[in-house]
Amino acid sequence: MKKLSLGEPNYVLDGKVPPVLTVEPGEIFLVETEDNLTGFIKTEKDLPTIEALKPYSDFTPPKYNPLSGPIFVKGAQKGDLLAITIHKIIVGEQGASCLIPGFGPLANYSKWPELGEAYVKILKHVPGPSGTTEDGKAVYNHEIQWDLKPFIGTIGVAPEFEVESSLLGQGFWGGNWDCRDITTGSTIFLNSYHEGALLLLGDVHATQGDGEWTGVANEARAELTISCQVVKNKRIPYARIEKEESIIQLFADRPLDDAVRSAIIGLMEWMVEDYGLAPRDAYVRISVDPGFRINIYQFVKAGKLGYTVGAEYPRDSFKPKTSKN
Amino acid sequence: MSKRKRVPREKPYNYVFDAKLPPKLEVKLGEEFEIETDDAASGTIKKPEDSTKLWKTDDFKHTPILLNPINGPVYIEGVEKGDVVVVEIIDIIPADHGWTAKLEGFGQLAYDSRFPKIHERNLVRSIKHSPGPSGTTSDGKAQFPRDDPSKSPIEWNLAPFFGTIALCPDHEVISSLTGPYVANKGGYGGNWDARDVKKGSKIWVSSYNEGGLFFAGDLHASQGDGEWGGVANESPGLGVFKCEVLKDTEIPYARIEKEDSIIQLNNGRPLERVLDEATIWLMQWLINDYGFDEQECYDFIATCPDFRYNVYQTVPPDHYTVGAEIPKRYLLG
Repeated sequence: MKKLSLGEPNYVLDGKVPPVLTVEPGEIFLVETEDNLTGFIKTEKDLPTIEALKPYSDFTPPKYNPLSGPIFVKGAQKGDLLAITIHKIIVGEQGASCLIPGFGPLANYSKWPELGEAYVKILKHVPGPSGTTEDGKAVYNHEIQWDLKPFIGTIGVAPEFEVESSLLGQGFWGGNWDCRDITTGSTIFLNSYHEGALLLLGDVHATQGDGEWTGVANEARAELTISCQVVKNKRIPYARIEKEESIIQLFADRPLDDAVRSAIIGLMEWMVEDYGLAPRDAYVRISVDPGFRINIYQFVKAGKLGYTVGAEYPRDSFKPKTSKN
Repeated sequence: MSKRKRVPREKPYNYVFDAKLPPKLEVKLGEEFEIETDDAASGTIKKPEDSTKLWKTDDFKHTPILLNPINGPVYIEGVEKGDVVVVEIIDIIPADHGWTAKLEGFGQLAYDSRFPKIHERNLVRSIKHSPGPSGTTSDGKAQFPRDDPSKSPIEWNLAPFFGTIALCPDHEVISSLTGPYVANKGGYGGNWDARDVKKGSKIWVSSYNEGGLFFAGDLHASQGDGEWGGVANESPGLGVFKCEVLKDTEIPYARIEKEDSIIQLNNGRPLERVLDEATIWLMQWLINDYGFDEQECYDFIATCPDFRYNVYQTVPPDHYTVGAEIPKRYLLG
C-alpha cells in the first residue's frame, strides 16, 4: 500500500505545486497528516503566546493547518467530481487544544480574563480493543474521558486559479470545514478543477464539540487510510457527504442562516436531480420529515472563514414505507 | 505639467491579485501615475442584448468567474512588507457612458419572483455621461434613461470611484471579483465597491510585499448605497494616483481619510458584526491617534450626531463593505 509520509507542509492550496503522490481510482493508500500548529505543542508548557507563534502568525493569513499533498488521482479532470472515501483514521497518542491570546469568542471577555491568556490542554489518546486509537479514548483528566471521534478538519482540491489559505480558505473545491462527518465510513464529494484533482488534507481533529467554540479542537497528528473515485462530468453546489445511513449537503458561509439556507437548497437539488423528487415534494418533506437534520459543525470567528453546516437527510426516507397497522 | 507614467488598458486582462505577476510600472513615493481600467465585464457589454450573452462567454466557465479585471501591479519604491500604503486618488475620469444590467441569478432579487418583469429579459441599460465644469466626466452628469422614451431621463451628478483597489496578498492568490479580504490584521483591499474610494480620498491599505504591488479596476461612475441589484453604473475609465508610505505600521483592516472626515473600513458578513468591528477599530484610532480617553470615546460615538455608518455594498454572496465615519472637526482638540 502506498503511503504519503509527513513532508513539506502546504499552507496554501495551489494548483501549481507538483503532486507528491499519484494514485489510481479505487486504490487504497495511507496519508500522514500534521497537527494544526505544525507540531508546535508537545507539552502543556508549550504556550501559544503571540511571541511564540510568530514564525507562523507573521503571515497573513497565518501559516496554520499544514496540509499533506497534493495527491494526483488518475483519471480526474477539471469538471469531474472527486469522491474520497475514508476507511480509517488513526490519531497520534495525544492531542492538544489551546487558547491563543486575542483569538476565540471570549478572548476579550472581561468577566473571565483568563480566557484571553495562552493555555494548553493535552488530551492523552489511549488505544481501544483493536490495539490502535481507531476505537480508542481521549482522556481529558483522570475522571473524564470519551470515545475518540476523529475527522479530517481540512480537505480540498486545488482551486482553479486562486491560491487559497489552508486556514481560511473555503469554497466549492473544499477547505477548512471542521466537519465531524468527514470521518471513517464517509465519502466526500468535491468539485475538481485540475487534471488529477490535486487533493490536499490535514488538520485532523481527534474530538470536537459542535461549533468548535474556542476555535481550537482536540488537534492531533494522524494517519489516514483513504481511496478516491472519479465521477465524470458532474458539478455539485458546494460539497456533499454520503454516509451509510444518510446524505449530507455541506455549506460554509456567514451568517449562519445563509449557510443553512444554501445547504438546504443544495440538498433539495440533490433530492430532485438524483433521487427524482418533485421540488414541491422535497420542499415539504424537509419541513415535515423528523429524520431531517441540520448539523452546525463549526462557527469560528476567524477572518473570512464561514460557518460550516450540513443538511442531512436519512437514506431510509427515500424508500417507500407503508403502515402495518 | 510633466507627463505622468501610465499603465495602459491592454488585453489580456488580469483577474487575480498575485504577487508573482511582473509589475507593469514602477513609481516613486509621491509620484503621480495613471491607470487605465476597463469595466467589470471586461468590455464585452456594449449593446442592450449583450447582457444575456455574457453568461455564455468563456469568462463565465471559470471558478470564480472572470469579472472585474484589474490593472497593475504598480511597484511603489520604498514600500516593504509591514508598511501601510496611503493611496491618494488625484482624479477619476469615467468614459462617456456606463452601463448597468440585471444579470441572471445574481443580485439581491436573483431568484425572487415578486417582480416577475425583472426576470423577463436580461438587458443592458446604457447610462450617458457628460462632462462637467472641469471639461471631463470627473465632475460630470449621468443620464439614466427611462424605459418609456417619451419620459425624460433622470439626471444626477456622477460620483465616480474605484470599486476594486488592492495591494497583493501575502501568500494567497485571490480573485479580483470575490476577494481579497482579511479581518483583524491589516486588509490589503479588494472588491469593496465603497463610494468613498473617490477623488480626494486617501486610502490606507497594508502592504505584504516589497513594492506593495498596487492594482485598480472596476470603476463605478455612480452607485447607490448597497449596490442593490449587484451591478452599479459600470464604466471604463482612468485613475490618477499617488502613494505615500507609513513605515512599519499595523492598522486594523483599512482606512480612508477624506478632506473632512476619517473612515474605518471593514468587510465581511454579517452586517451587524462588520459594523461592530469597524466601530471598535474606529475607537482604537481615536484613542491612539486623537487623544480620546476610552470611556469618553465610547460616549462620544454614541452621542455625536455626525458619527456615520456607511453601508457601501451588500451584494450576496460577497462580503459586505462598511465604513464608520467621524468628521475631522471633532478631532482637533
